[in-house]
Amino acid sequence: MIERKKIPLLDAVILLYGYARTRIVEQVKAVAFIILYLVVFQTLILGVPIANALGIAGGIAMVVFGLAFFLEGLVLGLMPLGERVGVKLPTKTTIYVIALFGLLLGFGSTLAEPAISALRTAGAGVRAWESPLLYMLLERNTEQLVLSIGTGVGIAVCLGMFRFYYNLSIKPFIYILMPLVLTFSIIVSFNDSLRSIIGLAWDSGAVTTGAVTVPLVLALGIGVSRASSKGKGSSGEFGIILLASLFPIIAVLTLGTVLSFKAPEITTEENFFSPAKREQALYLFDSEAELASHAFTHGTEMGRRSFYSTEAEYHDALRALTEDPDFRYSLIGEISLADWIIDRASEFERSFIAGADLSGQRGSQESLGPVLKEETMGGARAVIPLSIMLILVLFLLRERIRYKDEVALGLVFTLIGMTLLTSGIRLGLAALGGEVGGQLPRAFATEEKFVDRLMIDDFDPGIVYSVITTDGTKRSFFDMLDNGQITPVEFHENRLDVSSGTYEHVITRTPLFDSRLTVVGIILVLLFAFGLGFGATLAEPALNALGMTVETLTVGTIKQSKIVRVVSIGVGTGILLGLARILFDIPLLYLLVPPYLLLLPLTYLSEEEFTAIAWDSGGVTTGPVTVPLVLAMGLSVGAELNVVDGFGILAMASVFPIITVLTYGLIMKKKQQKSLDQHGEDDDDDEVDISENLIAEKV
Amino acid sequence: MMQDTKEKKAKVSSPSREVWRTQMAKGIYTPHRVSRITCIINHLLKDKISGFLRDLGVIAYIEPGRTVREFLKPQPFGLPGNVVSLQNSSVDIFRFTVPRETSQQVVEKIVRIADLHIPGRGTVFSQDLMEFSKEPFDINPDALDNGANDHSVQNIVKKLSYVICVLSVPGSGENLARIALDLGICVPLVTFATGNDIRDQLGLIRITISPEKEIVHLVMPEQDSDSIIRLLVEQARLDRPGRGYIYQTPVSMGLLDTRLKTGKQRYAASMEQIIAAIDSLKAGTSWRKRLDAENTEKAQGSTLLPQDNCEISIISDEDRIEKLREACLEVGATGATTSRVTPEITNAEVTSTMIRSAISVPAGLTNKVVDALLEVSTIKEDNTDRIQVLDSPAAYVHDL
Repeated sequence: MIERKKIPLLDAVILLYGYARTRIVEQVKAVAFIILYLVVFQTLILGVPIANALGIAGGIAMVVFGLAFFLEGLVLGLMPLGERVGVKLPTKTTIYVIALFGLLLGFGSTLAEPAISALRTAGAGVRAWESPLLYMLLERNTEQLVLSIGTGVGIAVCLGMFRFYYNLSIKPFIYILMPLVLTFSIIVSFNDSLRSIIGLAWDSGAVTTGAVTVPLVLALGIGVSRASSKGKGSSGEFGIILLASLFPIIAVLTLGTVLSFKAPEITTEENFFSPAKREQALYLFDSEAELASHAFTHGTEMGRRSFYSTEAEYHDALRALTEDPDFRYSLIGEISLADWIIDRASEFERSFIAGADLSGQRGSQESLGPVLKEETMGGARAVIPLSIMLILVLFLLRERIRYKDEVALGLVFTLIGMTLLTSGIRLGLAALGGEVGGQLPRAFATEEKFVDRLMIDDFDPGIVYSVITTDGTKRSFFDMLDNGQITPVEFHENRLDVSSGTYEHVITRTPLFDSRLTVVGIILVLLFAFGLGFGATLAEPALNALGMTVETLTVGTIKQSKIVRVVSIGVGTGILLGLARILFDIPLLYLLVPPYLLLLPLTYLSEEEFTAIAWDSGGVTTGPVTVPLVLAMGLSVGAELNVVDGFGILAMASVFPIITVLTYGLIMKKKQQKSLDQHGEDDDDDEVDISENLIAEKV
Repeated sequence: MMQDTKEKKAKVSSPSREVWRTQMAKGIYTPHRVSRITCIINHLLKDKISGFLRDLGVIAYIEPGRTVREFLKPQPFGLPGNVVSLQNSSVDIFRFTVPRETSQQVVEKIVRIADLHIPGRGTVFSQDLMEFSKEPFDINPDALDNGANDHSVQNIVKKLSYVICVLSVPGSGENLARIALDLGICVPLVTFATGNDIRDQLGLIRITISPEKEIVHLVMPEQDSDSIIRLLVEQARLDRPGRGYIYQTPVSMGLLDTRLKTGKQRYAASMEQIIAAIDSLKAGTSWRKRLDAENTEKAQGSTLLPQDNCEISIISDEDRIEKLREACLEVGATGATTSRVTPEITNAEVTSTMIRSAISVPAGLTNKVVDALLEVSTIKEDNTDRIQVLDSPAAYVHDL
């Protein structure tokens, strides 16, 4: 055996310091853009100070450390393990065993890294009466949805193994699958009820490949294709992630089609909640209480009125909402009463329950303890079963693991990193993104929006004075002292309760621009969307893992930073268009079909290796950093415009990176070809001349 | 002058001959005297070479790499001067051995197939060495046409030197490549490899030391190699511990890629083309000697002195390489770098992962190392395994 050298403690500390520093500096660079961007946007453009800055800063620090740990963990533990399994499987077993292993791995990884929570967040605002089928998939048949997505990913990994084993080109897969998925989506779009799930299907394709699955599948692919290249040279190590993005779409669309026969029909809100139709509505809900809750959290005044058979019952419910905490919980759940009044109550309901005690209930901040606990569980579920599966396979193959301690440490790092990263995102990055996102609609809103109200007791109407506008109309104002500043406030007579002497002062959010300037506002929002997508993608760990793999396999010809940047530009563009879809209510297919059609000729022209890398990068972009940020923005903009779901943005964020990477590849190829040809041609001519001269001389 | 006598002395008692003599005396393994041909070719031309090698019936080991060139672009806004940036292109490195007597023909054939006489397409060269393998091999002579001696092969020159710089600091490959381009030596080739020798001697603290190595390969005229190596040692700060080492091996003949610059060209022919033309007219590179002796003397003042070394490369299955490396370590040879290679085989179905491991060993140790390697190797069973021994007259290795 090799002798072990001892390293003095001081030297070890110096080594560790240098090691940790490079990793952390790298991640600071990765997240710097998105954080600066959000802070600058919020404070300088929207002009709002950052609330809870300390907590957010702490969260961001967690993100940085989390990313550093996670990526290092992948490099030390999960990826070597995956590659080893990939190398050993083909040498020791048959293709059928490998295929079965791929199926299990794909299925298992989907269960381990539940993207479903992201999908549910995106669909949190879905109204049961408008899109019953979508509601069913997200809330009632969630298990079937997860299983079908899992099956999709399983089939994808399994097919990917066949591709590596037999050294098949990725292009036929694209030529066959892509038109199939598009046609399926187009057919489905003709059905009113099914149309609503297209966004969900495409988004599930985008989010399924998580931060742990991607590097693992990449490593596995490298292993299998190395071991079974059969002296022909391999046709690339990528491609599984592409398949893992396409099959879930097919799976979800199929599930939706099957379920659509059972789903209730689309109806109006009034009809849906009316007691006469109760039986039909209860098909989607467990109990009447849940239905009522849906009316309160998702419906409008009309729905709530129609839910209660008499006016009196409705009023009782409203009163109980303010007074009885248990009843309130059953109706609006985690939402605080103040938030409910601001976001969901109608003018009538607001005045009906005016005077309720709202103190100390605004907003809800997440605290460190429970978040950490929850995310540790999530991280453990994503990392541990998959690692055990890999180790078990190696054990069954009677293969020893090289550098066991290193691999173990790597797995621990992955776990710590995953936990820190996801908690940090919840506490820091997503909180910051949510804040900016919440303010964003101001940029294009044309009207003032109710934000909060203040009850002024013992209001003296005597302080009200009149002012005159330039066109001669009179308006009333009073001066209010708030935080040591006197501000003139417009007086509305109907808000003064003469009997009790309280005046309800409504605080509104003013639009950022004059109504004539909303075009500027919309452009600003779209630009923001681009920057958000670009910045978040730079920090995406799965993409960085892909970039590292690409850099190693191309011996540095394609640099990690370069590919990450090219993909980020694509994601930015995709998110810009995804947001435009919400803003202008463009059907998703109008935005999805043209880019994918464009991709077919691009793919045809591209080199095999680049094709697989490009299509894979489409799948890896939407990970733990991008998804929460993008959803926060999409939902807040959607809420402003009364768009119920935030689906489609992520699907858009998947297609454009493919375009940018393929284009980048084509440019590179052209350059290379040019440097070969141009010189070649010139030279050929010169060469001919020279040789003719030589011949002439000799003669 | 001292240098010259030293080199001569080294050649008399060449370590690879020593190995040959010892192993022949033992009679268990027969070393073959062969030529190893290395072909570095633009990725887009890979298929042409693959096809030829399949016809030839040799097992080639392919490794990916990239070449670095200077890319000239005129200054923006019509400002005078050029902007120089580095341009990478991906290449494939084919390594295979042929009987010595056919090496010239094979090199010529490759030059013709891939039009390597046109600068910018690739490099090919041949080195004489000692090889241990399962069976003495044959090549298919039909694949070689003894074609007319056309002008395309006139650029093949003799007496070259293959300099290998193994660098341990990430990113230093780029740096060294830039220096090589600045000096106008040749088109540098960069490959990745791993070196686990120091790491393996440590506990878990080894994770702080990256196993990744960047290797810069340079082919240059023999007479320049000594002074250029000294320059590189200085520039890349290889005189400090833990940064890497350099060694060189002799090349019997080869064709160099002289296209150091791409992009905007001002003249009818580039400086590189003119040099190549004179090379072929003078049938050699000796006219190019430019780093004068005085300079060399100065550089000799540095801490490193050249050592007589031997390059041993092992090609084997990934799992077995561990044992081979351990065998090397046990006899005291450290610093092996391993890189992944894909074998290109005509008929056999190979489902194993091959690794090429190269190590630079002091001349005195060579025999011991070869003995230790042969003991654990499986070259008797597996016809894809190889052990190659090659003289390396000047190596600059800092004690680890």
